[in-house]
Amino acid sequence: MRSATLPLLLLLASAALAQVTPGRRAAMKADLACEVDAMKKQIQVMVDSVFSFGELGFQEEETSKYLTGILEKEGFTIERGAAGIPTAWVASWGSGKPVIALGSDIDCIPQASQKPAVAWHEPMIEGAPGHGEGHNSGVPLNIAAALAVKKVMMREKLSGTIRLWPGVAEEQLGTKAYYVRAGMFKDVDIVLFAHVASSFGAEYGPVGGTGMVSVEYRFNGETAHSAGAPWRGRSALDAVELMNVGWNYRREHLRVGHRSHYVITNGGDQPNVVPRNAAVWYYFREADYPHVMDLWKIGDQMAQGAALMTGTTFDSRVLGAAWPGFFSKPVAEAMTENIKKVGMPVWSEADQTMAKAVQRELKQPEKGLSLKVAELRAPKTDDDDQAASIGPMGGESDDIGDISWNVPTIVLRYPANISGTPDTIGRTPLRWPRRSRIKV
Amino acid sequence: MAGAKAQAMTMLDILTTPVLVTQEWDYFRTVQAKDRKYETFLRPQDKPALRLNRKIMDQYRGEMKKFYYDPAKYGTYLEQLGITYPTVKKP
Repeated sequence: MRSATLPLLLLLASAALAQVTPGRRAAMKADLACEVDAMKKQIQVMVDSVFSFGELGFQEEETSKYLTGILEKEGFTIERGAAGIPTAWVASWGSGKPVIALGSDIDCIPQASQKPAVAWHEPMIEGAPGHGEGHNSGVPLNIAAALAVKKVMMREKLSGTIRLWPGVAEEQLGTKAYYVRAGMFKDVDIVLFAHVASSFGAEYGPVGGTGMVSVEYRFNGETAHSAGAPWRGRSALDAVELMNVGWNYRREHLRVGHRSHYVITNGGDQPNVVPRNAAVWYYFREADYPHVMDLWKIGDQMAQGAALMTGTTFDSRVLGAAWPGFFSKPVAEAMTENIKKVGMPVWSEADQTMAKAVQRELKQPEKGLSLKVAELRAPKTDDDDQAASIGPMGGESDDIGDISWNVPTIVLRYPANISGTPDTIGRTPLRWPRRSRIKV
Repeated sequence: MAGAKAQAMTMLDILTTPVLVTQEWDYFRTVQAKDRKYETFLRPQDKPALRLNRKIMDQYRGEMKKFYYDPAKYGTYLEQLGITYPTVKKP
């Protein structure tokens, strides 16, 4: 019975697809826009709720509970604890091919607490985390899109599977390589990732920026009284400091485009106690996988040298990783056509007043909000031999890169924050501004 | 909302245009992965850093809960906080 039914279903599915003429597809797209418009209130509630949770990477407990609750009510099957990460999940609806996976980040930023819609730095809770970058809006966007498409799929009897997943701990580049390792995308045909921006567009190919590995070195020595018997001690903090000195001397002889930075995560307890344990956390960034690995190897050598000089030992742990992104041209072209159909949001006078006030506060040109959609962004090319030999000139990292090297992926940049704020101090969400952030 | 519309329309293109899926995999295999294959940075012993940020959230979560949005009582979060949009002049 099953063997007889399956080909028939496939035939019916193919027949359904064959009937989708360009005109019919255009009509269905108009329906989708109406469906999204009808969810205006629901979208506002989701965006505001996630903003109010303001949870840091790996601790997105309320956020994940809330978002999966909505999807579960809408008939999605939820797999919680995806890839062994408690706040990660996969929500699925539908069956068969193609499998479309919608992703967006959900974590926020340390010390970014900010009263929404206030144009200057005014935290709700001093020192607390907050959604400085706008990661509160991406999964709500995907939910709205998924629910609209689900309705049309049911009506039109279209075959396919919709999956949603969250970018947990993106600010630490902490999970997407683990998602890949766990096989989360093995049967996926396309990943449509959404990220907040001041523009509305998509891009394809290698998009610049850097790959990165995030490594914490933990030194172990011997404690002693720093005044009573310092000769009995072996300071782990000395090892951390010597590693950093060594790295900073070596920095001059690294490729210009590399980027590296560190913070001391454990520097001991108090001065009169020789620190038995100390740790330093490094980001090693370069243009591609081989060059990132080169940097990491040098870092290991610095740690070995520091341990040798101080009579200590060390181990290391990877806290995050990211390949540089590479995005799909055919789907980026399709997305760009749809972006042009939709057009930029109609900004109100209040929106523009808010944007200009934030730009003025940050001493940036008061351009307000963008009024035009972006053209399809082509890959960055570099024909200059000298520039090619030293590599690209630095840039940020994003762990969507790991996924993009395992399944065709694009990133939809959607307009919901304010331009003119340098990446070093942040991209400011339109209605949820803050003063500063550290972009990964 | 604009982003959700573009996302939904592109999903529809993929669902109703099988050749698009063929084309994106062809681009992936013949252009993107032509000269470079993915190798993870993760070592076999590496595990997700689940304890990151736990202390910070433990410190602030109690205070932050007082400000969670209650959509049953308030139309918007700004209404709940008593903030006018936009607030651009310092008191």
